[in-house]
Amino acid sequence: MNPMLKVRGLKVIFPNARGILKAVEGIDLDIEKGQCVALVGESGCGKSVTSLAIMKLLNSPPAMMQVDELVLDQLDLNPLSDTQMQEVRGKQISMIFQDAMTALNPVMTVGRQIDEVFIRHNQLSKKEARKATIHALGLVGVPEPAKRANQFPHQLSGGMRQRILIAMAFACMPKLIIADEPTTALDVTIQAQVLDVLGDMQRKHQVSLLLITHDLSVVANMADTIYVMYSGKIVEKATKAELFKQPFHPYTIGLIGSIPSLHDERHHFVQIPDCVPHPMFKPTGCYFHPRCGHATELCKSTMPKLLDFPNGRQVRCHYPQNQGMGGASHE
Amino acid sequence: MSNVLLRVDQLSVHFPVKSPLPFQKRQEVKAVSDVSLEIMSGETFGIVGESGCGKSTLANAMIGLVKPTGGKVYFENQDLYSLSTNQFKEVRRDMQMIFQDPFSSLNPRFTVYQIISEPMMIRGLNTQEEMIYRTIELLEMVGLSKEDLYRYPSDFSGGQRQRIGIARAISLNPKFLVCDEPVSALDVSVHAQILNLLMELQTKLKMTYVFISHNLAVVKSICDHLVVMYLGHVMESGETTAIFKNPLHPYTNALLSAVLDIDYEHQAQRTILQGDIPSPINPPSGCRFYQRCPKAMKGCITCKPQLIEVEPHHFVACHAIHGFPEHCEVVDAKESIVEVKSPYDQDHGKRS
Repeated sequence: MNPMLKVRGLKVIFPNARGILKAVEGIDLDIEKGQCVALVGESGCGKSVTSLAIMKLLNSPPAMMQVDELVLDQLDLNPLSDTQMQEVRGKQISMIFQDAMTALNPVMTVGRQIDEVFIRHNQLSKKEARKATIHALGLVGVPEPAKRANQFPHQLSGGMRQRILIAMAFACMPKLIIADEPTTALDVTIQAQVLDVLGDMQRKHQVSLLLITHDLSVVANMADTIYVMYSGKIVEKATKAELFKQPFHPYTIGLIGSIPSLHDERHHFVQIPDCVPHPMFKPTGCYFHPRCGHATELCKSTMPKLLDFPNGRQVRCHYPQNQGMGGASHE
Repeated sequence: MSNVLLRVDQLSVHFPVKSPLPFQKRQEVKAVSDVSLEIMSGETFGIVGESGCGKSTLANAMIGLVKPTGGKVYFENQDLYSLSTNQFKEVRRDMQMIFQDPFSSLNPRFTVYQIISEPMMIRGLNTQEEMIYRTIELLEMVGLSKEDLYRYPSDFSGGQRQRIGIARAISLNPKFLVCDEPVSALDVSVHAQILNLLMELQTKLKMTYVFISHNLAVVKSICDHLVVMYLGHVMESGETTAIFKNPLHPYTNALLSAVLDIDYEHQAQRTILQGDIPSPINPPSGCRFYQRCPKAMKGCITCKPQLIEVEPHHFVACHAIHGFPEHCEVVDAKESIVEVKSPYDQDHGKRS
């Protein structure tokens, strides 16, 4: 089966006066139709840059992007010009941003902002577009959609605004939706509401979803496949069940361990020391070795290859934890 | 352990709002109304609730950053708001605060040394040399090094900035520290570092914490006592273990089920609260939670529930738990379930 989105060898660098900032260093991503794939990592690991690169929204300069393959459902996005990409964005790929207040235009009613999508891509008249907008708002559970459509973003609560963004992203029923930290700015109760809506919409309309987040508890409730990213590289890829039951990479183990759970009784949190290295000054060898409890001389000198495991699982580590079987070296 | 460090007695904080038209009745945001609690020396006291429920205002009123409109705050048996300015300054030294956002709470034009030594400078008891020595000591205590002394906040990551904020807060050896969502602006992986640091410092320096959070999983592991707030009212309070073992208030239950757990297979069926927190300008007259409450009854609209002890060290304010008091008109609880008005009908334009 051909994946909905296929990315091979995506690299993004930001050259500046002091050197080259390598934000993303060769990423391979596959998203099947109707699947939810999560990209997890701390801030500064390049996950947002990856999402912008897939949308081809990075300005060049300063960014320089290179990709071997970028295919969305048999449509090669790589050679498309900016004007051609405008046809794709909103219609075939769309994005849900983190902060709904800055993503929405404060001086336009939310209805008009969603109308625009229909007018631009479906060539509807203004009246038809408004009808479609009200329908779309109803789908994401906005009460009294006709009334809400005439309101401005500041009149709505945070959860409502995020629903507006979801409605806008789903407006043309795109093939792929990228959600960049869709609930980070929200309260727990509102987060649960918004994630429910997002998950429902995704399953109902069989849309592929790329969920970008640093919160593994969100991932555990939404994603099918998980990519863990660290300092511009994928360090582990696994299905949800495998990743949470048996994480291989020490970084993944640390991430899972650092989350407080309602079910356990410990009073001390497992922590990963330090923080993500600055992308200008990455360590030699494995990027994770200064923070890793299992690091050896080999880790300090050589970057590990992505090892393949059964079931499409991949790990980038010299000493994968928690497993008995040996891995075959990946090219 | 058992002596009370801080006592809050029927505290209310109301903020006046500019009326939309002249000669209209002046409106008030009732951020905190009628809250009483006691904080023991040496414990960690948690305040939980959604944003807009008044938890930060309550904490600010505890340390004198906001003047309450009613009620009293006693710190070591002194009424905080009847002290003279000089006495207040003395007392205030023992109460410090860690802020939520480490990006806006540090002056970007100050070096780390200036930031951390500022409280000592204001107190004016130390020489320059002592201050440098003490700042290095503090930096090492929070896990930074003395090379960081003359760097600027922009050189640090979020977690490191929060460490600088903590070093500043503990520079005068306070007895009482308010942590206002100290980790919610940080990455999940850094949460653990900061929380471990805070707990380590608590045992080392014998401080009392007030810990504000909306993440119940964090609160469960570090707090001894807990209050759950909604729209300025305390809904449930008591020992953390008692509340988590037997959460009684529907709002506490809703908060608990909204917490996403990485243990997704054991995640119980979620009851997701509908709607948002209503505007605190015209809060519901009876129980403040009735509009979103799954167990709402007719009497909840008019009758305000009292905080009643249901088991040792566990207080709940809910009619569904201990029934309606006698003076309430509606008593028939079974037949009186009404259609709950959607909170979306409220005007959200009043709050941003």
